[in-house]
Amino acid sequence: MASIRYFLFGMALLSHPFGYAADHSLADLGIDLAVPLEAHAVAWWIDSGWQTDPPPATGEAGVPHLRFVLSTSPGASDIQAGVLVDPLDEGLTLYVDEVRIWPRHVRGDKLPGHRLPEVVPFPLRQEGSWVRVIRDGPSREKVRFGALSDLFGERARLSHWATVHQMGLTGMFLSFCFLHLAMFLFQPAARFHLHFSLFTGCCAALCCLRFQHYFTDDPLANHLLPGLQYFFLWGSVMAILAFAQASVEAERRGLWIGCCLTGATAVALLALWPAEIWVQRWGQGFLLGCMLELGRCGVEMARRRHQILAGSGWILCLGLTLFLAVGACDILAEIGLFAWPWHFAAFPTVLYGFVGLVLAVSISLARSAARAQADLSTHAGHIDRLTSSVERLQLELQKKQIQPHYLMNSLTASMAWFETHPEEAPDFIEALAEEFSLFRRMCAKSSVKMEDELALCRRHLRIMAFRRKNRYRLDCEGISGEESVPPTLFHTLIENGITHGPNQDREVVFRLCKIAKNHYRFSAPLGEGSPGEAPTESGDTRSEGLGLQYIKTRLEECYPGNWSLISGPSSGRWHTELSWCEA
Amino acid sequence: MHILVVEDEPVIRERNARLCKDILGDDLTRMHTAESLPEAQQWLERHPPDLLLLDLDLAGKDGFALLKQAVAGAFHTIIISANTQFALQAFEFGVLDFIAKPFGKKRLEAALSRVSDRRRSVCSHTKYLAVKQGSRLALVSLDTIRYIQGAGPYSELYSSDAAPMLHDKSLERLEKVLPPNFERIHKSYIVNMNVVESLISGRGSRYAAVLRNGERLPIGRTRYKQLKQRFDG
Repeated sequence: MASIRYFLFGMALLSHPFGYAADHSLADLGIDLAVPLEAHAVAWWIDSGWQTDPPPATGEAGVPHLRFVLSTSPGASDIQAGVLVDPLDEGLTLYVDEVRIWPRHVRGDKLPGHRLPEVVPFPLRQEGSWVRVIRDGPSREKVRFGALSDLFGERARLSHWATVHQMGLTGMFLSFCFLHLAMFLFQPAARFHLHFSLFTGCCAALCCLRFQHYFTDDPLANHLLPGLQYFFLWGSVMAILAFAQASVEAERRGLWIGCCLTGATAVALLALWPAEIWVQRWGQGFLLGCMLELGRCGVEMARRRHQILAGSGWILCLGLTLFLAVGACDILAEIGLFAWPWHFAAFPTVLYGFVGLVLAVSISLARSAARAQADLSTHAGHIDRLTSSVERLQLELQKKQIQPHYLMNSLTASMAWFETHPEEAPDFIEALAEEFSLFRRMCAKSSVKMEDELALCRRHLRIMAFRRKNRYRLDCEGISGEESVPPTLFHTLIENGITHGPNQDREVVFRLCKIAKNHYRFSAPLGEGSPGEAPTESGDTRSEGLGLQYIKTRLEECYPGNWSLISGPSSGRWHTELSWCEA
Repeated sequence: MHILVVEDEPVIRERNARLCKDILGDDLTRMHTAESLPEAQQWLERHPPDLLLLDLDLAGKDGFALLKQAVAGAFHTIIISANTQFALQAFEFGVLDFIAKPFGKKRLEAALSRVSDRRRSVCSHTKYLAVKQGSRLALVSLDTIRYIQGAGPYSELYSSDAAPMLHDKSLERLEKVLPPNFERIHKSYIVNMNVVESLISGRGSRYAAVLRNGERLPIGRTRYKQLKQRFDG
């Protein structure tokens, strides 16, 4: 469904939604009367007839013509009047007394390249009534009548503002471009800064081309720009939508499929029609499509506001809202339903909305990068802590094995054996040496074979049998010995089992059972007075001994987030169930 | 001498008991061994010994809990432990000696001799005295104690920030674990020399130590000369 929706959205972008109105007034046609001329115009009326006399040879069905009579008062011939027109407004035709004064060229000739408004002198030869006929064009550019001096002043003003607008837009896009390029250079891992820098660089390049298009007759700019501009806008809006969708973690596959379908259709359409016609006809559709989809996206984001407000999505929402508002005003002004004071078709203010949107994306990217950096630092800190924790625990374990409590007690016990059973004492020393040798080999590894682990356990049991005067045994079920396990995991469990188990002259049996792959159950008999607690799951915050901490840290180190440890007493034994998943 | 050996490892426990018997011979009147804290506590309550030989790590449990209780008792305590990092802390609680494992017979002999030796330790690190107060133990810092007065088999501690407290140890036994700034000035008094302001000599060979708060404590005739030398020096 999402693919179809995005395809329809794409088609909306590439289609023209407007028809022509059946009725027109001067205002509908964007005819703006300048005051100086009005002072000499004694009568105005609109001829409701749609036919000019004689009808223009190029008249097409459905294209409105407006005929009106301008009566001039005495002395009007002194007025140098004229009309300000868009040179690229191909549809506009202007007649004075059935003589065409605009366009100057013959239909089919090459159009003038630049888009700077042209002043066409308006002949007022003598006092009397003159029939003027205007044939409206589809682009609905404003046609302004007035004194020539005013019109040239207006042309200069428009030229000035066009320069300011285009340079302002170019400068803003270039600023984004350099800013994100610098951020990328400082943080090469954040490639999205490079992508965004390229994107805004393209925006700046398009603005330059537009600037060129406005003032010069550069054929490259004039014939490439319209297609490039709308394809680029279409692509960039889709990209921003993708980013917006990503910021709310929506499903993006549909968006990409929709983009591909729309792109393919656009290429097919382009093959059928010349780019300038295609753009002129579907340009407004593009804007409307953008507005509709962005509106839908805004609703979607509003629904997920709690999720968005927690991150930087609200900035993107703000940018989208600005773009929507400015774009809506621009379109309404374009179709004449709304008086938008900043609207002039040559400089669509929606572009400033687009700049706002780009700014919002830029800020969102910067905030996301900052958050990602903070997360990375936190994560790195966590890893450092975990690593240092593991190192510390390894050290503690080594210390425990080779320092006071284990080694010194073992040596004290060996002295006792030498004093009382000198013939057995060397066996005790030998077992101690073997255990240390195995332990030293295994301690630095992250995983060892189960047979090595069991060998270490049995050496330990042999030593503890001397020391504790117990008979220790380790029974294994389903263990092949080839399994890979974290080192000293079961050794630590046995050590705990001995410490908290029966003390003297007892048969003590430890059981290790393999339930499934990487899933083991270990049990040890409880000693007198051992606490009878309910089974506890991993993550329990109660205080625990160094041995259990070591086991958990080892498991987390080897299988981060993919392990479980449950331990507790049952039927006179302490059961420990360990399982993990290998990545 | 009545000795209680507390040790969780049977081989070492039996060795400690055997060595004590060898060293003390007929002087050993009673010997008991315990493998756990609860068992040791029960024995201490019912049959207070003259000496406790205590391992600090008993089946993974902290022997310090028993140590605090032990040093508050009338008997002396000697620690036998592999955890030498706790030695200083143990001395601060007032143990008579700390034997690090592994140890030979001579080391134990030296420690046991300190129990019967009337001379006091010259390098005591005791910082606190544990005093039983009902069911709990209070640790009294030696810095706050002005003097200790003998009260038969017990002692009375006079501190600057609390009412007099009764300690289970006799003055003789306390003297052995107190640091050098505590001086026996009379058969019934041990004084903290840091709070002595002056020594005075009265008529009829009566001597006294004047404390900073104005209290006067009697000084034994035989001890005055030595005390005067120390005070002047």
